[in-house]
Order: sequence, then structure tokens, then C-alpha cells
Amino acid sequence: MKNLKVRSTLIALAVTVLVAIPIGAQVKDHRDIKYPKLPDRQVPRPEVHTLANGLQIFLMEDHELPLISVTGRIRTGSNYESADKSGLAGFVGQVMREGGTKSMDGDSIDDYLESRAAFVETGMGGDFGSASMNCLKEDFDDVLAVFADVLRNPAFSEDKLELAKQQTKTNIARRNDDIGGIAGREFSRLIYGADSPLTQLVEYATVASITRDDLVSWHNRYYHPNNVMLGVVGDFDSSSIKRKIEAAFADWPKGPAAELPEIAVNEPEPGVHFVEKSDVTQAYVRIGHRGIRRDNPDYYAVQVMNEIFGGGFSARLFSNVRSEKGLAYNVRGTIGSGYVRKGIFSVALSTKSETMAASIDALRVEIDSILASPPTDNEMARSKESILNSFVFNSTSKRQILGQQLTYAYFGYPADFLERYRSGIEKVTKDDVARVAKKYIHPDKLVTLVVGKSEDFDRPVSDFGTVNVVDITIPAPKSTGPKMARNAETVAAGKELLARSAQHINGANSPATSVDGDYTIALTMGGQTMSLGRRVSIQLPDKMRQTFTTPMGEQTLLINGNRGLVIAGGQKQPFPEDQVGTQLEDLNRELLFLVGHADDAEAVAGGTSEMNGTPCNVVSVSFSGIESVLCVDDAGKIISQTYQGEHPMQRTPGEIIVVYSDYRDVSGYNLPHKRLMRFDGQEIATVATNTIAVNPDFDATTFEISE
Amino acid sequence: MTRRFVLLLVVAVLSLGAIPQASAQNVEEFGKNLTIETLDNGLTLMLYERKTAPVVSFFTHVNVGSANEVNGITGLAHMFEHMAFKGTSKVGTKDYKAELRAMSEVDRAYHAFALERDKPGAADETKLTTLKAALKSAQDKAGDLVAKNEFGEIIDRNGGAGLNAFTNADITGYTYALPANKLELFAYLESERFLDPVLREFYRERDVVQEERRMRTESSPIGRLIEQFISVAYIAHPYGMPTVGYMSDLKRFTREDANAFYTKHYVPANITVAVVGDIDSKKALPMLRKYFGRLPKRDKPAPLRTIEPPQPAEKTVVMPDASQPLYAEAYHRPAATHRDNAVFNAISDVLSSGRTSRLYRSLVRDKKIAAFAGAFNGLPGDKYPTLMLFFAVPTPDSSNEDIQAAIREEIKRLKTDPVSEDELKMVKTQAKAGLIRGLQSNGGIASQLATAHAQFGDWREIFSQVDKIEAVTAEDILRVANETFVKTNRTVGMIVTDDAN
Repeated sequence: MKNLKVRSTLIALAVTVLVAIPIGAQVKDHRDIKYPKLPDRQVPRPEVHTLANGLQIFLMEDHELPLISVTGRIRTGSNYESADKSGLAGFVGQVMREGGTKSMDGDSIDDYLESRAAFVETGMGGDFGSASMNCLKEDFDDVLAVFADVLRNPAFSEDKLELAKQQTKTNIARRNDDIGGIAGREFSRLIYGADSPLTQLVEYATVASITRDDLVSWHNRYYHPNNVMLGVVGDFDSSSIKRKIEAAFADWPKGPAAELPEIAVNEPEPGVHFVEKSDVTQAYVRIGHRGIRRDNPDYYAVQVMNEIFGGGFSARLFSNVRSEKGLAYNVRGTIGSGYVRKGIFSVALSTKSETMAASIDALRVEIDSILASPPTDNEMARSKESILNSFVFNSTSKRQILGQQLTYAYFGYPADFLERYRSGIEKVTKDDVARVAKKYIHPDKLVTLVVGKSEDFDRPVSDFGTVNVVDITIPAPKSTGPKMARNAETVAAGKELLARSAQHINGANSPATSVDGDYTIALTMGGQTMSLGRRVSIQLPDKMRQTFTTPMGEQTLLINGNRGLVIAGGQKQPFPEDQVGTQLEDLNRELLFLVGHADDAEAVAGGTSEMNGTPCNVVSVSFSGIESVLCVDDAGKIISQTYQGEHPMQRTPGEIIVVYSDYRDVSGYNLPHKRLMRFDGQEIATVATNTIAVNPDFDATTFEISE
Repeated sequence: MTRRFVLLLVVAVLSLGAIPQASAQNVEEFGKNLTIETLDNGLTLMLYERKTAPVVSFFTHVNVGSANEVNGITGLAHMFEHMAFKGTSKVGTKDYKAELRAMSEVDRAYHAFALERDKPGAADETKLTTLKAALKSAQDKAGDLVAKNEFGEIIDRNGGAGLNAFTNADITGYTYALPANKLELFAYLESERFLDPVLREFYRERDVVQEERRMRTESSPIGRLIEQFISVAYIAHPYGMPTVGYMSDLKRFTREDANAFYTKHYVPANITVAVVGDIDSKKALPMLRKYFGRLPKRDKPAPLRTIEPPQPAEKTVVMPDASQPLYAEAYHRPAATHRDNAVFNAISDVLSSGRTSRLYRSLVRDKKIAAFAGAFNGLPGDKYPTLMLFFAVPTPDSSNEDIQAAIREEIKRLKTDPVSEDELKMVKTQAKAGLIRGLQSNGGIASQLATAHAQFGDWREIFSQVDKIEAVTAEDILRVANETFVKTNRTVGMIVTDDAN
């Protein structure tokens, strides 16, 4: 009878204390716990002001900690950039802050802010631009000044744009390293369409086409006070902070209102798609189609359905696919809802390769069952209670509340959207859930994507339909930047650059006609580095002797006139005649000989670039079928050479970049003693010069071909 | 008694240096809202009143991590964390007595299967198929008696948020939040969870954990590199073993192993429970005491014996991989409780905190050879002597060698030139602001409180870490850099692109 006493104590306490914590004794079953009622609570709303120039400010005092933060939304977004400039809006978001302002460069802003432990950041989302600041309250005036300056007067400095481009290129190069990234990206592209502005990829070519002017005109187009909302929360007095913000922005002139066109999206074609990824032990599966918009009256019923189907620890997907079958660590499935356009209905998991097909089967069973059988009473109660009881977590801090209010205002949703949400959820019935499942989930229209190592799959992907193999190859960067515009000016500049290079290498000498060099090559292949020796003797125009020393022995190629001979392991065999010409042409790529063509080559200047941190001038050089692009510093030193060639071992075609360094004097010629070779962006070899002689006296037998 | 002495000592040591007034005030102010009690069974309760919204967050810190494992049971700390969501003899079952019998059947069937599978020489495939079918049938029978995920469902239904847990090399942490009126539900569930855990659906959950390993380690280039890297950097200490466990162990440890691990490590003295939010501590404390006081007092397990010996040789791990290059190097350093901990924190801040940091300015901004460069203390943990890590993501036009040279240049600078006054000042200012920013959420406060108490024996460490950074001098950095960043103390790791694979 101890229990009885306990309970009466509990009740007594619950009645007398507002948020009472019973202290009687522990219960034996959670169902016996009596909970006090959560006190009614008025969630505060921000104070909203619109300045004369149209800038909207949302204010919310929060005196708990001595901090102030500002969050801004700007009416723009990467969804509104053109396909050939994909990445532009992102660069605006990044370089706006990093590139500094007209009065303070980016590095100075970094120093200024970090010495105050403050942040000012800008960024770009698909449907809005963002800008934020956060600081200790005593630094507010200092930091606000920078924040306003960044928004209003960004300098978009060239060097920070270059830096941002470099980082973006790194991301491009790495975008296929992570299987989860591939699955997410390709699934969106299948749902919205690969050409949609919502999913278009940033590529090396689009990055290359973006200029500082593009950033400036983007800013001019969208960044006006009447397109900006600022939310301010923290330890301040509203009337004084309002005056400060007004002072910082009042003289920012109003501009044209941003026009963001509606983006047309078609329903995706159903089908089965596959991406091969061989270095993984898991397969990633994504199944779905388009979802709903958040202002859809069925939004509430869909949220309850999501909770039953695939959200949380007690949803069907978690219970049946993870706990019951042990198929996945990660499994989820929901009908997504967007503020501006329909979201994605997506069912996703990752599972070991050997259970790829079994997992798709399991997911299909769950999709069919949410359509076939209405939710149980218990599922209904669980999901509604879960949403309603956790409702208080939608407003745990002033920051969170302010963020929501900004979002609703920006997307044109009512300020009481959350309250409507709560009463909407309360009204959802079992029939509603069954109805919306049927209305918004279409098993005949599913797009299925599998990413993984097909040879380990339990059954082929084709068991689920005709397979479209998605090509995720990253389009290679174009050689050394933008296409060179050929006109009198660029041709003259090109000539001049090539002449400067010739002068740099030849000094006072006339162009060299022969060379004898000994090199050590460190060749990187398959993660291994192999060391080779190379000895080359060349006598222009048509004599060459080249010997490779490898761990397997020596191999010599001899060319004299139109004949060629290969000597390896004591065996001699003729070198194919049709390749002799190519070999001889290639000799002219040697810088020493290439600059000998300074007079007869066509050269076109292509602006400036950068190679390994060294700024240089781009010049495209071509003569007798040899084409290459050089990057030359102002002194005429050739920093790099780019051309289309073959991988030295694998013989596959691709882009070769040779980076030259360690120039030294060799009998009055100035020659690089170190070169680094890249093939299609991958480093493949470094070549060190051991000895080199220009215009040496060759032994009569050096180029003699005797079979 | 001992604790009090240590506390006094800490205060004494601190007062030798000048404690900035602001910080001392902060501690006092913060302490007003805090109630701490260590129960008779050794479990510590920490209650912090913060009435910004009618919610309350919980963080249970258990002083056990993968460093407490040995070969054969790697991954078991993490496996137990998964099992802690499976319920108790009252939660998660349809009929506990029948379920107990069914679980014994599963154990028997599993052992018969495992015995055949691991038989020296080859297993008899026909037998194995039969045994596997028997295991599945026993699992299905036991499964029928399970109320699936009831533990999580109760929390969900009551409006729980952020239900989760994590395991690392040092600790296991359990966390969630409830509406403030549901505090007793937490007290009930959390105490039951560690008083009376039932390791149901063990072998199916073991499959899930294997998937987690495939996802985090095997299918991720960085995951693969880190596993190799730490296995080479540590020669003796269990920090060299992966927290998620080796696949062979994930296929072989048993329910009995997990129960033994629980009995040994989940003793009340190893558990700290922090409750932060809209509570009335005076009323909450007796209630929490009643529930958590039920855990029987047990001896703390013996401390780890192995100490990582000094490293006499530079080590290198080169991993050919189908992904893009990545460079890392690490140096052994002492545990977080060492007096130089703040110096290491200052070093990593100078090197990698923000756009003014040295690695960013050198590798990213000026040389443009890295898209990201950073330094990090405590790989994989910091309860025991650990590693300080430097790493960078090369841009497409640069190589691991470029990165290595640039990182070494920065390290050399640390060893030869004193850090400037401005840089030090910036680090100190940021530490102070960081402390304030860390107090913005119930969950953040809860995890910091429990961790500071469990690891340092005093919650005030949250504040005194700032004072310790404040005391760091340029000479300290020179000294520590010269002691630490030497060739033989170094492990280098890199991913080298290999498309052929």
C-alpha cells in the first residue's frame, strides 16, 4: 500500500506547485508518473521596423549573456544564376566578406574582428543571400560598422576571388570522393533535372568564366536596403539599438526590388539509375520523387505521416529496416516540404554491398505498406503526441524564435505559422494520414538511385528496371584558363612574351641545336614512387638517343633521320616508322629548342594566370604542328608548359602540365633543373637534371643505327 | 576528503597567478545556479537552473570509452551504447520471462553457429547454413517478444528532443531533452537504463554496428586513413585501436562480453548526470537522488595500465586510394590534465583558429596550396597522453609534399620565433568569448559541466581553462614546441591518389 501514499503525495504536489517535481519515491513503471502541467507560455515576438529606404529590422532583447548577433536575409540566391556562370552567386557570398570593402581590405577586417573575437560572415543559399555578425556587446558599434560596410561597399578584390576559386576547384576535384555526397547530389539532379538551376553543378569551366565584374554586377542588382531583412538579438536596449542600425543604414539608397523569377520544375521520369563506386563496402540507395510545398493544407497530415513512416527512433523504417532486419545504420524516409517549391519525397539508406537489393526490397515493402494499411491507433497517438509534446522545442531561445520569424517573413508565410502548425497537427485524423499517403506517394513514379560497388551486390540493379548508368566524371579543366582571343594586340603581346622567354633562356647565345642531358625521374604510379634514369642526346633536326635505366634494365631508343631502333635487354628491334616523326616533333617541346622558334612560331597572349603561387603571363605557342601553352613570368622565365599528350606509361591521352624550376646557368644558357609533371591534374613525375651540356661534341657513333 | 584537498590545491595554484576579476565573478555567478551532489553509491548529479524556456536537457557522462577495450572486444564500448537504447526488463518487452528464455535460446544458437564458423580449418558449409537458419529462427522468436524501440518511443511521445548518444576513445555520452514537466520521466528511464539494461536484439544490433563501421570507416577515404594513422602512431596504448572496432571483433564479440563490460565499467562512480534547464533544484535533487540512488555501489575498475612509451622513430603511413590527396602529421603530447594543456590549446589556436591563423594565412591565403589547413589537439582522445595533429587538404595544383613543406615551415617558426603579443592577445580574447558562447544552450552547458567534473574533478575547469590560457606566455610556446615537434616524435599520414585501384 506504499504506492497509494506515493500517488497521493504526487497529486498533492502537482496541484500545489506550478512545475512540481514529486519527491515521494521512484515509480515502478513510467506510466505511473504524474506530470505537472506545463505552464502556459506566451512566446515573444520580435519588434519589427521598416526604415525609409525599405530595410526591415526585427529586434529581440535577450539579456542572458553579453552578446549581440545580427542575422540578415537578402532577396537573391544561387538558384537565379545562369548555367554558364554556375558558382557565381556562391563567389559573391564568399568574396563579399573575404574581399574586404572599399575602405578596409579583407585581411584587415580579419584582424579587426578576430582581435575582438567577433564574426562577420556572408553567404549564399539557393533562395536567399545571408549576412551575419556576432560580437560581445561592448564591441557592437565597432563590428556593426564593418558589417554595414561589407553589405554596402564590398570591394570584391581580385586576389580573394582567386582564392575562392582555388577552394572551389578543390571541391570540384573532390566531389566524387565521398559516396554520401554523390548519392545526395545525383538524386537531387534526377528529381529536379540535371539542367535545373536548382541543381546545376559548378564546373572548372564555369569557374573560369566568372570575373570580378560579374560579382560587382550581381551585388548591384540585388543588394539594396529594400531587399534586406536584419534580425537583431541579444543584450541591448531596443530603442538605442534601433537608432544605431538606422544610423548605419539610413543613407543606403533604395534600389530596384529584386525580381526572382519562378523556377519551372517538371515531375521527374520514373526509372532506375546507377553510379559505380568501387572503393566502398556500402551501397547507398535513394528512392523517391517530388514532395509538397509547405503552404499546402495537407502539410500537417504529411508531418504526422512522416513521423509514422520514417522520422525518429520509433518510426516504421527504423524499427523494421534497422532494428528488425539489421540492414542499415542510417535509414530515413519523409515527404519533404519546401517554402518556395515542392521538396523531395525521399527514402534513403546505406547498407553493405551484399544486401543492396534486399534493402531496396525492404524499402519497397514499407512504401507499399504505408499506402496499403492506414496507421494504427497507437501510431497515430505516438506521432501526434511526439510532435505536440515536443512543440516547446520550437521556441527554446530568442535566437531561434527570431530566426523563424525572419524565415516566415522572407518567404511570405504568416507570423503565426507555428501556432497554426500546432492546431493543424491536433486536427489530423487517421483518415487524413491514409489519404495524404495515397495522394503524395506514387509507387509507379519512383526514381531509384543506387551508388556502390556492383560486383559485390546480392542481385544486379537491373532487377529493379532498365538501368541508366549515370556518368559522374568530372569535366577536366581547360588548359590554362580562358580561350585566348586572337587579335593584333594579343598576337603582338604573345610575340613579345616568347621573345622575352628566348632571351631568358639563351642569354647572349644563339639558339641551341643540340643537347646532352642526364636526368633522374621519380615516377609516381599507383601510390608507389619508382626511380628511373634518363639520358638523352639530341642533335637537331633529326637525331636522338634516349636511354632509360629502370630496375628492370636499360632501354634505348635511337632515331636518326626517318629510322628508329629500340634496344632492350640486348635485343634490337626497329621503331615503327610512322612514329618517328612524332618523336622528332616532340623534341621541339624541350624549352631549349622551343625558344629557338621565337621567330617562326605563332604566339598569342592570354592574360595572366598563376602557377604554384607565382603570377605569370599566359602565351599559347604553335609551330609545325606543335602546340603548347606557356606561363611566363615578367622576367621571361617559363614557369610552366601545358599541352595535350600521352601518359608516359599508360599511353592514354590527356593534358600534361610541366612546371619548371631551379633555373641554372649552363654555358651561358639558363635552363631549368627541376620539372614537375602532371597528367590530367595528377602529379605523375618529378624530373631532376643531373648533368646537362648544351651544343656538346657528340661521338660519331652516338646516333649510329646498326642492326 | 581527497577531492576537497585537490580543490583547495587548485584554488591555491590559481591564486598564485592573478585570476582576472571578471572570470572569478563569472564562476561565482555561475555557481549560484548550480547544485552538485555525489550520492553514496558514487554517482554524481549536477543540476543547473536556467529558466529561458520550459525545457530541460540531460547529459549522462560515463567514464568508459574504447580505450578501455582490449583486442578481441574492440568496438564493445560503442556496441553497449547502442544496447542502452534497447530498454530494460520493463521497457521494451511484451513478456519478459518468456523473452529471457528466448534470449538464452538465441545465445545458444549463436554459440553453436560461431563455434562452427570459427573452427580451425574450414567450416562445414552445410552445417553452417543449418546453424545460421537455427540462429535466425531463435532471433525471430525472441524478436516477437520485443516491444520494438519502446525506450525511444516513450521519450518521443513525451516530446523528447535530440535523443542520441556517442562513444569516443575516452567516454560514452548519452543525451536528450524533455519539456520541463517531464523531468521525472528522465529520472526513471535514465536510472533504469543503467540499473537494469536488457541486451535484447544483440546480434541484430551488432549487424547495424557493422554497417556503421562500413559507413564511417570503410567507405570514407578519411575514415580509412585515420584508422591506419592512429594504428601506427600508437604502439602500445589502446588509443591505437578504432573506437568503432575491427570487423572481425564486430562479428565475434558476444552478449556475454557486453554484459561483462557493462558490469565492469557502468559503476555509479563512473557516471555523472547533468540536468540543465527550467528546474527547481531544491525539489529536483531529492527526486533524482531517489532514482539514481538505486544503482548499487560497485568498485571502480582498475585504471588503464599501459602508457604509450616515447617514440624513438619517425613513422609514415602512405595510403594509395582512389580519392584526392590528403596530408596529416601528428606529434605525441601529454594528456589534457597536464599543466601544459593550455599551451597546446594556445598553439592550435595560433595555428588554426580563424582567418588570422598562421596555417590559413600561409597555406590557404598566401601559398594557395590548401583549401583547408588546421591543427587539432587530442587524437583520438585526451584523457591519456595523446596526439596533436596538423592536416591540410591540398588544392588540385598542389601536392602533399608542398603541404608538408609549408606545415614544417610553420612548425619551425613556432620553435624559433616567439609568438607575437598580438597573436597571444587574440587567442586569449577568443578563449574568453568562446567561454561565453558555450553557455548559450542547455545541452552545451550540460555536457561541459559533466565533462569538466568527470575529467578534471571540478566543474570550475570550464572557467579556469580560460585563466590558464590567459597565463600562457610566448616562452611557454617556444618551450613546448621545441619539446614536442621533433622528428622522432612524429607520425606522417597521407592519401596518395591511385586511380588504378
